[in-house]
Amino acid sequence: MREIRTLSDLKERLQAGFENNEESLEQYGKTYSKQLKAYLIESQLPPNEAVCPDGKWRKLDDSVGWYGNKDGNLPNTLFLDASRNRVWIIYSLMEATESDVIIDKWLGLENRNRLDRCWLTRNHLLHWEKMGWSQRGLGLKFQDGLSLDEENAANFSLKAFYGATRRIKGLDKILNEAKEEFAIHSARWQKRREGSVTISTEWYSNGKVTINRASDVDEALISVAEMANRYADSLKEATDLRDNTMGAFELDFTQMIDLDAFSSKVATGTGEMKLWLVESEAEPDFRRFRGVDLHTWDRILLDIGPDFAYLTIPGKGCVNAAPRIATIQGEDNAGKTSIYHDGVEVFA
Amino acid sequence: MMELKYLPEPDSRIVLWRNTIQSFHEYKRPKFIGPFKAAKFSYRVESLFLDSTNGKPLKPDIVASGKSGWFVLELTTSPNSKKQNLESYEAIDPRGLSQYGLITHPKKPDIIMSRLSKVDDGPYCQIFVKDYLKIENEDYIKNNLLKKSLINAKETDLTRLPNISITLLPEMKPMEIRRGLIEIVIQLFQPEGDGKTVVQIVDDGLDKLSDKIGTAARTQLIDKVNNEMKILIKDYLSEYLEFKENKYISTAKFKQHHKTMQYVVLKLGEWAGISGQTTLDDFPLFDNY
Repeated sequence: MREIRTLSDLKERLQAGFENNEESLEQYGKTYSKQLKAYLIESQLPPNEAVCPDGKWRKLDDSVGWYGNKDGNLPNTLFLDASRNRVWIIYSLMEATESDVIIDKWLGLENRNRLDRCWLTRNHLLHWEKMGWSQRGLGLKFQDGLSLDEENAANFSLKAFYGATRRIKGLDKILNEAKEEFAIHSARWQKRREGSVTISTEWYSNGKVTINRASDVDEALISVAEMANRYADSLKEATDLRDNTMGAFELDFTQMIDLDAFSSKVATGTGEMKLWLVESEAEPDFRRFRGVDLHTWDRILLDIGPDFAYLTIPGKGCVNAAPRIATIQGEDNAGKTSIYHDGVEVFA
Repeated sequence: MMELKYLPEPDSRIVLWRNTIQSFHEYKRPKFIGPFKAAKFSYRVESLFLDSTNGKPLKPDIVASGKSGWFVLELTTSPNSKKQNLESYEAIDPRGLSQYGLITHPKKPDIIMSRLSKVDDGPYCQIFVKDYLKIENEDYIKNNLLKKSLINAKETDLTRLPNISITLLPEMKPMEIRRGLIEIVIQLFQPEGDGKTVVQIVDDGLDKLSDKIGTAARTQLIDKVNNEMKILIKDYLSEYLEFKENKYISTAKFKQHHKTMQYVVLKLGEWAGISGQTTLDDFPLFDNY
């Protein structure tokens, strides 16, 4: 495969991949080229300080803020768009299984504390509806992570792919009821023009997107950039709120939380939530906790009731904690979660 | 009132500040619209103003302004009357409000005292924010919108309002200081962390007040924090925390293992007077973690 040294090279390569897949889809009913994946990354690093997940970053010649990986085990497979300060995009040409592991490891070890995922709220995941796209799938997740007894854990997951739901009696109702109770883990969207699919994407709550199909590379890249811009705006808004007010972020849940189980879990820093907290006050239906978010080791104060939590981020603690805790706790034990500040929905 | 089940003494100063500050905010669950939020006031904490008659500096705890007017809010747990302090705020030059991005009003402010319990502060409105909002002397408020909003909020439950980012305050008692340090101490266990000097710890705890309190109060707080941290290291977490090269830092023995983390939580709870933490069912091997 020709080495990708410029942004134009990258676009050519992506366009060829999209076209191959469209051809094979037409001929054989399935795609064979690897689908483009992108990961939205919340960054507090300048790009030159970011370790590359595989090999080293090399700037793409005709670009501002774009890099490709070289010299690693899988060169020419990762591309970094660091043209925004707070939200980067890593595009991956690897298989999803390889790519997910490499990005996980990179975020967990190499750049601890200064890079995180962008945690997409349900409003982010459903944003495409407002842009006139059609929803073609939905993933819901509830792990019952506070359950102490695996045998009786009330875990639930659902992944549904569908066409025009209005043509299947009752499906809209089922999906709408389910998504009002549980956290959305993924959403699949299609953009159509003149009866044909121009982009088909699947967005995940951990900031990943898979471009299943696309007809135009610029249109595909700009759709990913749209989400990055939206998330960057949300971070800026939340940072301003942290700096200029003393109100807390409020997380409202649909599922009832077992506060004793929550307390036990966070005292040991275990579980998906990765919170290490001391319970400082307790009532049967309300607890106050203080400690750190182990994703970043930033301090947090968390006051929690059966179906809500107040999150206070002292100092310059990263506001990405709000969507991260909302997303992870929602999928782990709290169901559909919305984030508010002063009664107004944020990260929306 | 919410019983502080674990606390031998309540965090009076934090409760006072928390419940007063949150009266400028709104929450959906449980439904709460603070009276100052309802009257559309913006606020600033510990901002510097000048006396319009003699140019002397004045620093009320909170100033707030909105389209309808402005007011000064003083907070104290002192058993002594603050009548003189409150009187002095009548002379604040209101033009200073613009410096803090607040709407200016060419008139004297309304003045409100926020407390946890009754003390005679003279002819000024008082709010009591211990558990359910109580208000006295509201007739001294000139701004009708503010007065009406306060009256509407009487008996509002304040016990479940969110914590604020300020966790240390001057004049805190030893156990209050310990509780205000908990999450700062936990942060010291960050792998490969740099540790913190006592000054950094105090700045973290003071948060938005860190550059706003006087030198004497700050020095006194630094001494108190040092004392409590040394007790923590000596009597509770000697294996896992140390004071080295002027910094509080975790020892090499600390490993991020769930039993060790639970042990640290337990010990911090004991140190801070929070009994009833999740007990360790067995802990014979913690030395090995």
